[in-house]
Amino acid sequence: MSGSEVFGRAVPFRVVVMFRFFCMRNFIIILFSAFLLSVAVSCGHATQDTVTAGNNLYARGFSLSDCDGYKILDIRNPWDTLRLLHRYLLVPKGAAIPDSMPQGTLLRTPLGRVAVYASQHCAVMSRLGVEGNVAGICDAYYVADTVVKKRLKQGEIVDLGSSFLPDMERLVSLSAEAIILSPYKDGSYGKAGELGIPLVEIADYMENSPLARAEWIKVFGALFDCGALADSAFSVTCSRYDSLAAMAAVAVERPTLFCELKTGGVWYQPCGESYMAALYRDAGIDYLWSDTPGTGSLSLSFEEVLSRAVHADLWVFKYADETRDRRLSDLAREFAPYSGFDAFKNGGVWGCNSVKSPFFEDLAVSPDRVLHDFMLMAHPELFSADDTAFYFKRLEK
Amino acid sequence: MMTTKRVTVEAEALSIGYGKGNSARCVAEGIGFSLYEGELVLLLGRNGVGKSTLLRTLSAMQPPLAGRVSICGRDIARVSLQRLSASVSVVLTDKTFAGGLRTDEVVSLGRYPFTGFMGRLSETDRRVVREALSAVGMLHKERDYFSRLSDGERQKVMVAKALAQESDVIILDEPTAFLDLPSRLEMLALMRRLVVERRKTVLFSTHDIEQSLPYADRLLLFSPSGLCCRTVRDAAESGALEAIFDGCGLHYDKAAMRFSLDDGRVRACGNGGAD
Amino acid sequence: MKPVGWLILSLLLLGLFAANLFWGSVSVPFGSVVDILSGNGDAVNPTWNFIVTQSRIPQGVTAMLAGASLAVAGLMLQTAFGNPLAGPSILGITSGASLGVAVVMLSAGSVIGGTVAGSLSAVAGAFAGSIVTLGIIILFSSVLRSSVMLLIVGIMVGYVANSAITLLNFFASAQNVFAYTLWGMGDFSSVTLGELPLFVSVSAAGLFFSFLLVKPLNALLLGERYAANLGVNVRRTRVMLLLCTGLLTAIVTSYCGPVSFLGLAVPHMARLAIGSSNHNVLLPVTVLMGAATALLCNLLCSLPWQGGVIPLNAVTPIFGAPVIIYVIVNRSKIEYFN
Repeated sequence: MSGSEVFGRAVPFRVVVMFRFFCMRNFIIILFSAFLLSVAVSCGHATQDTVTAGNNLYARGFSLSDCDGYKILDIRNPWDTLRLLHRYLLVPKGAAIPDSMPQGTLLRTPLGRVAVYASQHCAVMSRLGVEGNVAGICDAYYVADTVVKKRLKQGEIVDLGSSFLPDMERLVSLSAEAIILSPYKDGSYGKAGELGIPLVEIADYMENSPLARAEWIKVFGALFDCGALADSAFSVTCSRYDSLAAMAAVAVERPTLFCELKTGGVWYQPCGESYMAALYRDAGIDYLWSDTPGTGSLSLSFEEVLSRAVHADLWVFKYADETRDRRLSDLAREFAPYSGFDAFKNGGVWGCNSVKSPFFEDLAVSPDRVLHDFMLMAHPELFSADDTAFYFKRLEK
Repeated sequence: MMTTKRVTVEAEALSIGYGKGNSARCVAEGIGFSLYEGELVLLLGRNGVGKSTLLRTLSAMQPPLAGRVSICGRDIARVSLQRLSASVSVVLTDKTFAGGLRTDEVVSLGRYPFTGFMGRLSETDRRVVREALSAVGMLHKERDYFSRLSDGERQKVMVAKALAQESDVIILDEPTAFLDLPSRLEMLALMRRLVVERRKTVLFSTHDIEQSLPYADRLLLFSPSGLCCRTVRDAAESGALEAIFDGCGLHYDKAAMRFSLDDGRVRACGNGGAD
Repeated sequence: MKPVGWLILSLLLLGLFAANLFWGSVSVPFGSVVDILSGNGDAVNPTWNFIVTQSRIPQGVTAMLAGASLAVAGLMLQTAFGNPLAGPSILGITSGASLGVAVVMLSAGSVIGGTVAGSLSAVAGAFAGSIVTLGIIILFSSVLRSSVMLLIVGIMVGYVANSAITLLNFFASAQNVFAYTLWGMGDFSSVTLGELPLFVSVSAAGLFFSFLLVKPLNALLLGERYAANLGVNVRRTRVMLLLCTGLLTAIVTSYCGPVSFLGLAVPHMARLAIGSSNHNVLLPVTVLMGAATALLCNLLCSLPWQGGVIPLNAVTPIFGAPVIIYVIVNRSKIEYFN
């Protein structure tokens, strides 16, 4: 896993770390940074181009268009959707560079060796069979893909360290053709931006629906010259997702659900317009905070969660434990009032051990599998008795 | 006449200094003297000669390198802290953090060795505190904050604290430093009164030699060559007083009770003439 | 202090505790809370009953004791070091406790997605961390006679602990880092009804212990040399003071996180309120004011803000920092500074 879902969408590790740095007790720094941010927002935006109309089914964050001898890949600015974040010009290797191209970052396709900051993007490349092009990866700790793990161990893939502060010397020595990373608001990429290596900013995590995020596989298809494979992989994902969602849509009962655990004094729940809320809705689940606006997350107190979710049918959460899977007794020991929820008493608690399952990696590329898990919890009658969940397990006593 | 008095402080073959064993740094050795009840003794010497070290050793804040100090006949190395604090009290020039206490509360701390676990004052304690305050002439300011007092008043309150300890010996480390002239003279007169009226042994170090001499009974003269104990008259006549400023070319004029430089240039040496 | 002062302070504390039971991020009707508190909880909505008994009561008690403990720890350190800006966090005790928790939370890799604070291993980690820090400080206290030098050693020990924490954070998983970060923001809600007896008994023992040190604390106001002359065994007293503050800081930090400013600011509030540094009065007033301030902060955290609760350490500086600034600016006019 390469992110934490406390913000309602899987956020890259870098953003979490940024968050940590912001939360350090020093309020002056926070205020000062907020001031700087507001200044940056008001006078930024060097890119003035408007976004070209895309022909995507779901994704709003990118558009691919064919031109004479090259392709244009536009990444929309997720924080100001009228603006472009980055325009890439994809010219096949060996072909002459066309004379009349618009302004943009030139990429020669198919890309060869690349450095990848996020393990989720690595998972997308694996799906396309081009994981062999991964030359270096950040946050190697979170990689769940066994092939990539093995190649890391053998030294074929270089561990670049933290994505917040990659090891520049190793990054340079890769002689990568591009660096694939997740952008964050008003962020800079430090020295990585000055190496002369193109930065490919994949803003998939800012999409608000599962299929929109999955559609970003097309971007990878264009980058690695396997567009047809990407299209078919995406349409398979879509059809599986849609058929599951169609089953859920006609279900009579819509079980209620809340999620995650109390962290410190706060209990985060994703907002009603978030990525996770969309997954719950599509799984035929009545998510208890689906009426809240926003795509981020709510920070609630224990009593707020309890008063709304005490009678909820389902309780799902992710955790990381290398040694063993969690039990209900662990939860009660951790924080005794957890046992006050009906879901706790009725066996409606499901946990995903993110160290042992590629939940966060698959979330981006195979939302249908995640949807399957949620539907299995909510509507077991729709599945055969021997069907098991991919990522979640019902907590034992 | 003096020999009939009770001995209160006795130093025998005393070596003072810092540290232990091989790394010890000896400041002075072979020190021996006796002090008696009802006398005011001045400790004189140049800066750095070890006056403060001697006072700290006498008040058991620092162990001697060798030898023995007895207060009222008891070896201070073997006496409990509590008993010691009831037999020798100190007045220092240390910075305190007691500004938020009232004057009488500061003096009450002198009753520390006598009060119980929580430091609650008995009727006797309260009476002793009031007496001590009135003895130093500070009763009218008993409810004032310690921080609101002048330097001279604070020093008097600290003397009252020492009185409240009801100890036979009071040791003062430069009690007149930082004080203006009236406060300085008032302080000296106060100490004289304690010696005469309460039979205390008062030992204090000072650089205000010329002002202090008329109030003193005896002098402890501390020079790099050693420490000797003389009456004021004896010290002036034998030249021992000049000897502590050996090599500075100072001359003490007995008649005028002043120090002067040998070449005749008169120096105002009221405040530590050799510094 | 006059009896009426004690009465006002006690009523304030009682009122704030009651407010913490009646007022929270979920609105429970006044009458229902009264029913629950008077033992008729069965007749009330069971969720409300659960909220009041399982969440609000332990949280209120925790806030009260944590506030009192930190304030007393701060007071004792300020007197022991003769420095009005000393506090548990300055001496590195909080950092030591944090390091202990960081080792448990960040390196073990066995963190349930959310709650870590309050788990027994975290408590043990905090204890070990603060005791080790204290051990180092006590070790140096036998070498260094000067309190200021010792204070500097404390600050340095804190830096070393923080560097270890930074390193652990850097290599830890995002979830653990996140959990640790939230722990670092402080909260009073992590002590459950079942854990309350342990928390109450340890912090109450620490507070009781501190009352036994009132007499030497007063003597220390005159400085260490005067205190020694008054019969105080300065070294032993210093060790006892450090042990007592270490105990109080460790129990609070392990359950509630490194709560900022209470230890530093409340003793000043108490001194300003009663106009005295006599510990006979100052210590009990510090206990009451620490408890009251913590309850007030907790109340502000759980008021129904837009988007839920806010972290404790976002509130405590609002009370703490102005007090410290006021004290610093007016130091020439404030008695206990001179």
